Amino acid sequence: MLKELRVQKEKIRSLTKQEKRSLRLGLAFISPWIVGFLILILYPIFSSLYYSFTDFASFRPPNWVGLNNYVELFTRDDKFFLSLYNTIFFFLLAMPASVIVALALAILLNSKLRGMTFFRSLFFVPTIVPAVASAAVWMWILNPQWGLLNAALRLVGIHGPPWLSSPDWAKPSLVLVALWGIGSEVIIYLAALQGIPRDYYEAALVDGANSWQRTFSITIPMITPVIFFHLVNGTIWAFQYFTEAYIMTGGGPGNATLFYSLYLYRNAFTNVKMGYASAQAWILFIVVMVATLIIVVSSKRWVYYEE
Amino acid sequence: MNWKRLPFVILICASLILAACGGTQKTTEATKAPVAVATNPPATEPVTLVFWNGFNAHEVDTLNQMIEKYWNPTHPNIKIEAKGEVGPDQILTAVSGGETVDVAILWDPTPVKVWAYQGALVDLTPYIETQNANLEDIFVPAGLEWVKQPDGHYFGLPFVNFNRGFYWNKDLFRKAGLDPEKPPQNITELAEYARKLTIVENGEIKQLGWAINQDPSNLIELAMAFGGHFYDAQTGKITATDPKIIEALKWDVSLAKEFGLEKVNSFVAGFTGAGNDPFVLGKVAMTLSGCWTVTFIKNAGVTLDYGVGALPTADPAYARSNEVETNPIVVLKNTKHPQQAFEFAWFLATNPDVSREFANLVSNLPQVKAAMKNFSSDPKTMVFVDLSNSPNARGWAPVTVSAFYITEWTTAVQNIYTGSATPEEAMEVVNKNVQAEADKYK
Repeated sequence: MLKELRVQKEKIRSLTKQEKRSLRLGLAFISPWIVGFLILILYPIFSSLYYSFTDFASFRPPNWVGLNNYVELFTRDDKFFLSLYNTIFFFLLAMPASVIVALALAILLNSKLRGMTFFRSLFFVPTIVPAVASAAVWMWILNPQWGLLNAALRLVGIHGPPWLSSPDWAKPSLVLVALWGIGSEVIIYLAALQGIPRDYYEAALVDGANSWQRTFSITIPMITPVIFFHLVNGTIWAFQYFTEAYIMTGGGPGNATLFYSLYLYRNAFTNVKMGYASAQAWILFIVVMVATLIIVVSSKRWVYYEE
Repeated sequence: MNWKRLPFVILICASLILAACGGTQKTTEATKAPVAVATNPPATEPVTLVFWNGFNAHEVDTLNQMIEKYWNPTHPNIKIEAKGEVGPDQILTAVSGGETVDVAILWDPTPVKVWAYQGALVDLTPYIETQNANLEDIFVPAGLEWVKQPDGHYFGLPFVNFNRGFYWNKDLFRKAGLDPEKPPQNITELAEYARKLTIVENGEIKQLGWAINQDPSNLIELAMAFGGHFYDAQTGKITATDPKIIEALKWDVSLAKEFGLEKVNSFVAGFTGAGNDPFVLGKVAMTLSGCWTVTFIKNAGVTLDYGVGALPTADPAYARSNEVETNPIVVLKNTKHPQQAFEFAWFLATNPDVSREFANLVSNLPQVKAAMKNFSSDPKTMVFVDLSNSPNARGWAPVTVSAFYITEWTTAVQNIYTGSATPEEAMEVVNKNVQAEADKYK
């Protein structure tokens, strides 16, 4: 890394006048982005770090309270741990499910059948529906009395649960809603599947591999870089999960869907405790960072890149 | 130290310093806000007041017409720039970001006291004093509670109130052999009627006599009908463990258990979402609902023969108990024209014509007593108007932590009806949490 930087420096030093001019011009052209990034992203990020050590409440000048917010979160706030537990539970349920479902759909959509473009479009449609609208539709689908889901279950003789109003089923219900909007991941998997060279499969056929073996020995190893990408993105998404829960359950029933971001939002805007919420945000940042790092480090063992 | 990282470190430090400075800048601005009250109100120089509110576009248009009609002729120098569809969150963000909002109407009264505590609102008490008026005489007292501090200071004024009342379906009463003109008179009768009006077919609830496990706000009304108090008005202490509140919850849950808690839950959960009111659909014979439901039923075009009145109570001492809330008008601390902003707030709050016309428009109730007489030609709406001025009408918990309180109450209620906690256990938790939160605001 350092060596590379040194090389870069050397390169800049050895630039011709013309090249140096281009570099300056280039930097000038991207400067709106750099300035925007510094002011609109980096500054707020570090402001929130500062505020997390204060009792900031939006209006009054903040008072420095040191580690108080963090101490209170870890020692006196039951809902902090509950919301963290709910979020990790959601992550552990939603993440594997979304990898399996997206991959399975992509494999199905990769088969050579007539009208496949139609089906590919069909599975992508949910992703262009705004979250608020899909949440409203899903509230009806999950309605225990008149909802489509329980009506379908009744046909096969199952008495469906009250989904969103049951503390046990509320989280799985939200996972179900999330899986419905998995279209963009499916498309990425599909692209990866189509990028696998055909000769591997031909060679496998010659060796007498069945379709199961072809899937697990060729397809999946070949698309591990995409699974890796999905895992990293999905982890960040799951830990920041907010909109659907905010609309559909509001954290209920009995705090069963009080996710981390929902609790953070409540502290910031309902209870007007911005400093406290900032501390929560930084803890979330660290949690996501650690989770991502674990995935990145582990990826060396299971992600295959073509030589 | 790795000097290559220096620029990055400088950047972080600079950001932190900037962030810190951002805070101190606000200090000076906050202290600069004028506290003295001009005794001579007429403004010589024309000013424009930014006025944000939570009403929808159509309602804001009507409000603007009223401003045009009643305000502009007498206040040519104070222009009003109204913007609707902004909730408390957006006002909070805008104001803390330095944007100037002079006057705001919030759609929910719970932020007023916490915002006042945080220094976001102008104390209107000195301005009110210049009016030589007794607010208790002008306004419906229960709505006023949300803007009045225990020490008598006002950080807002009420604007169009709303409350809830008892609704009963006369057709379903007839079918059950009950006199449709005689709603239950007390809690015992309510339970009796509830049993008579409940229809169970093949083990499934087809019709519920009394809407059990309602919206948490409605359950507050039920607790009040049992004589429950959610806080002590004298000491400000949270009293969520009030035996009367627990009694109310136990009564409701025991009724649910008669029909099967799970069955009731699944029946109730079927009626969530807009346009899916079980009372309007004739699936629930008796319920609690807002004053706006009268207009809602009228506009929905459904033929429903129903009556409205006060919720039956456990004891005549609590007769006509109901919970009143308001859409508070507040003046924000960063206004440069607090005097003019107050004048406008005072005009909105006290003008009987505006109160009458606007409350009718949004199916709410007038906040000024002067607008109560002949408020509506609809006798059902008038029932709610009278209820809001009853001696037992009050705000359930107009305390600094009321927003926190309602989320805790909602969680507790959900835990009780899913069977995860008894009313005693759940209310113990509410009391502990809310009191701990309230203690931070001393």
